[in-house]
Amino acid sequence: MRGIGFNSLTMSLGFLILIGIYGMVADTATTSYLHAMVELMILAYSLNLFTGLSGYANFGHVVFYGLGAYTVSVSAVGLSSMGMSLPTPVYVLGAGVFAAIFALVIGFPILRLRGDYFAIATLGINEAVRVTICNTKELGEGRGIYILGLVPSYDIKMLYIQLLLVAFAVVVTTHIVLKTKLGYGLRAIRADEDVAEIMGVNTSKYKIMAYALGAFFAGLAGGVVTLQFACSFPEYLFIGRSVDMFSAIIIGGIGTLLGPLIGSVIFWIVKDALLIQFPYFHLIIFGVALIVLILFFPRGIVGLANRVLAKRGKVLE
Amino acid sequence: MAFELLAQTIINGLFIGFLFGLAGMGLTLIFGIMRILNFAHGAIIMLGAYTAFWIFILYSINPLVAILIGTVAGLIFGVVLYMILVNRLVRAPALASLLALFGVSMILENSMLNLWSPNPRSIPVDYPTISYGLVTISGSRVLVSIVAIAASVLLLATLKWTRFGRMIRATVQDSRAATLMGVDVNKVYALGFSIGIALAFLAGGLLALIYPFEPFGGLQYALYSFVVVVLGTLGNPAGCLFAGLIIGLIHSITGSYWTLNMSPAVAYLILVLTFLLRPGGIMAGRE
Amino acid sequence: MSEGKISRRKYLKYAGAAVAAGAAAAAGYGLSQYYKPPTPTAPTPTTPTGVKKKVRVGGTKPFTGAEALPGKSEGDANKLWAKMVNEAGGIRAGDGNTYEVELILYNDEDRPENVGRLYEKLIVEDKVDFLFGPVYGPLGMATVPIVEKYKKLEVYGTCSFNPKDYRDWKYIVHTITNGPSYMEAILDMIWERVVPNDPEAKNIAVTHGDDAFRQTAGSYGYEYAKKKGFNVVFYETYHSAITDFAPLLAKVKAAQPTIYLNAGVYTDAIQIIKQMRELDFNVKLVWAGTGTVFPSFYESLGKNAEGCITCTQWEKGIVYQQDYGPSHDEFLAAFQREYGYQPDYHAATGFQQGLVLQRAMELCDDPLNSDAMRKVAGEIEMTTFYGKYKVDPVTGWQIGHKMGVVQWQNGEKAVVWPMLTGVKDLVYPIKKWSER
Repeated sequence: MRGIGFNSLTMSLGFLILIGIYGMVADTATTSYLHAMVELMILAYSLNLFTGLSGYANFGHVVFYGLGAYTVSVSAVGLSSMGMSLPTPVYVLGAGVFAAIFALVIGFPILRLRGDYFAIATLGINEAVRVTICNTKELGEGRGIYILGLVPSYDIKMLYIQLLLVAFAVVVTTHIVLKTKLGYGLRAIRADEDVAEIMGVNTSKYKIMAYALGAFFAGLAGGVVTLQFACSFPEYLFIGRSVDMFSAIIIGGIGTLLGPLIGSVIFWIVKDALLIQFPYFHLIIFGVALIVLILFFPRGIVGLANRVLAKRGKVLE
Repeated sequence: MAFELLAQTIINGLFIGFLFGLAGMGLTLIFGIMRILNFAHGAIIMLGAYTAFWIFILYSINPLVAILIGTVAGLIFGVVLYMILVNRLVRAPALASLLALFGVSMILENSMLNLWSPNPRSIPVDYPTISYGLVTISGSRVLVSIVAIAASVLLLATLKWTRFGRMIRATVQDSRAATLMGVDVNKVYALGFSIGIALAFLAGGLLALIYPFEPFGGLQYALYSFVVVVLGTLGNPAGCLFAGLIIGLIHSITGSYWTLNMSPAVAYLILVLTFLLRPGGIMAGRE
Repeated sequence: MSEGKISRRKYLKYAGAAVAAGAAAAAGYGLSQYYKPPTPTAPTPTTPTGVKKKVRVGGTKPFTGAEALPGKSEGDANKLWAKMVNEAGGIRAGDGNTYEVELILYNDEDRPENVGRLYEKLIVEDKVDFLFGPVYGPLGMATVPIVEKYKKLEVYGTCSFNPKDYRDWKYIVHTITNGPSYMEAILDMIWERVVPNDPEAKNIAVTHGDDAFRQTAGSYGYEYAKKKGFNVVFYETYHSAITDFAPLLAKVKAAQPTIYLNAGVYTDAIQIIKQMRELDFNVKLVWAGTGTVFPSFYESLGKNAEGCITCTQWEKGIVYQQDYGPSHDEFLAAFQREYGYQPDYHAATGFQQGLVLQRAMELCDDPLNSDAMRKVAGEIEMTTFYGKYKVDPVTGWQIGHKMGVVQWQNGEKAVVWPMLTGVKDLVYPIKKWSER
């Protein structure tokens, strides 16, 4: 097994560098296209950190993305009313931190739930947060908060760099988690939580750590998006986004290092092409393709590749 | 005045509660038997609403008959869906099966959109209302509640007293043991799944009598159904009906005494609180 | 498992999958061909005045998802405008050249990540000259940083937002009366046509949903009503996705208003009337939401829809003294012929988007330059079949257009406001539910 993890990490980072360079030299339309793809990639990785490793179906992951977005707009508006402003990376970092704190707070009650109960609870929390935002005057209610002029004017290349940095961080974090006690603990939980507990794995500590870590990165992505559109509104918490991330990690291969990357690239390219080619029917075609893929490759592309590579004594992570 | 508002609130809550309960029952039955959470539930409810609507419009028959025919159509749809897809999902990883059903939901919603336009529809019928003082009871809601109760009783009785019901309960408890005892698990799965879908069609048809619906309207019902089934303990139809009534009352009371826009948030809050106090739902440990 | 050999069962599985995927793709492609919007017609003979050029106009609309209804209507009307312009030989612009319109519309699914990506594609890859805004207000806001950066004129359609969110943007003009003024037409109509005869009509109840549009329309309407001198006996908001209004209506009923106004959209409008009837909650006049204008409102409610009023950006039957563009009847006939359904106000708005651009190009001596065009668009005053167009030259805010009010009378929508020629009598009070 020596050197294998290195391969997957190199491939992921190498790919990021490639699309990073390509995005910087290409026209802004291409950058924007890659930007959206990398954004999905970060979300997929952040979901993978918790759901992929522990097997807990988190259908409300988009809530952290939405909260990250709102953190940026609320703090920008709040600071500007006091006549202050901060450099944008601070806003984005703040978005991640707030999302992680929120995850720690709600994690304690809901991580006690197992299986489908957990899935439904996360859905419920997402909706509860969305409804609360829609009813809070300070949060702009359904209209959203508009921060044009309070943040640097739109420049997709700058945003892309920030997003790439986040993507690098999340890939490296995933790699580290996979290699450390946290990763082994989470995989033990996925295999059998009760057994893991008996064997002395501190399951609740591991779960909440991974949950907050995932939330942190989703919050960062949400922060960058708010800078892009200079506004945050309740549609950021749309459940469909959670499903996108889910599809990405399952297409790619759940709980792996390369999976979220491959999955989100395939997901984004296919879905975008269908959206432009068949504006009315793209989701019907996509739905069929998704089902076929899941039926025949339940372990995703990485699982499929591993079946082939296993013959040569190699394995992807 | 205060008393009338309270009475009206409770009556409204109970009526909507029966519908929530019925909508959840199909979901909970499928989960109990196959351990699959049907993420296409919302879209299937909407499909049920459209089916009843079109039967009513095209053949202009009694809406109740249209809904019953729609329910039978739901049974057939369930069998077909099971044969094509769901039988392969039973043994698939849980997350993959959730996503596959979400794919079904995408296909259904967008097919309905392209076939029947995004216009909201509703079954245009009127039943007389009954008034007593300031409290008013709507005829269509009474009718919907009666059908919902009848369907629930029928389902529970079938589960309890028929041979088929015993087979289902055996499968719910332990599918491997049931196989050893000579239960054809595959048949139970197929039938159980189809009945679950038929119940969703029934709920869809009934809500088409009261509410307008549109291709993408299923999400809200699905979310409420999830809350209801979890509150009533996954896989327990009787608990589901009971939980439906609770959620209906919460919805109605929040709307009357606080503000209607917070009632979904309150429902989810109750859900999380229930989890904290009784992690298995209100009916956990019984039966 | 034996390697290098595929079992028969597995083979069948894979083959089946391939066939299914192929069939689905083929079916999808076939259907999409069938549904494909009519492509702009072939070039027409060149006009003697100048060289034939092309103007590219792009936009995104939600063709699928929860906002598909307004998205499809507005998109269809955009396409109709482009087609009619090209059939007439193109736009004779202020620089002496004639421009053919090439329209590029994408589906944004009402999701922000698509808008960000597609606007870049439209501007940079497809090289559009001008943009038509999306349908949903916040999504329109999300496009502002992009169009400001690339300095492209964007004509907003149905998407509307709050004036207090204006932040010094320069390239946007609005066509519709924005959300804050939505309820003014109804309140004016009641004040002028009803209150003089029935002073009790001052007692109104106002409710509204909590999403961007309903919130803005309802809360500003509430303020306007108080300022105007109405006695608002009840005011509350509800969650926009709610399906059961009985709890809210029980409270409204207890407040005993004479007139009930609800800033809602499609489904909540139908639900509110249904449930008012179920609760036997009678008022002398009711507005349940903008969804009242749709034929499906009447189809769903039958005689219970009688007497319901609503304000609307445009409605068949409001005939203005117009000075530009196709007439009311011409638009109606062309739309019906092209798409086989009656245009609603979203469709009319979509067409107006085109007319604004067309008029501005005709008057502008540099018709592909967004700065010059924006200046002209800020100065135009015109009345089309859709009503008046005049924007604030600085903010681009629509200030000329006024809304109309219609009432369902015997299965037809009768125009009861503004007081132009042909305006119908208002049915007041409306029949009690039990007497219908």
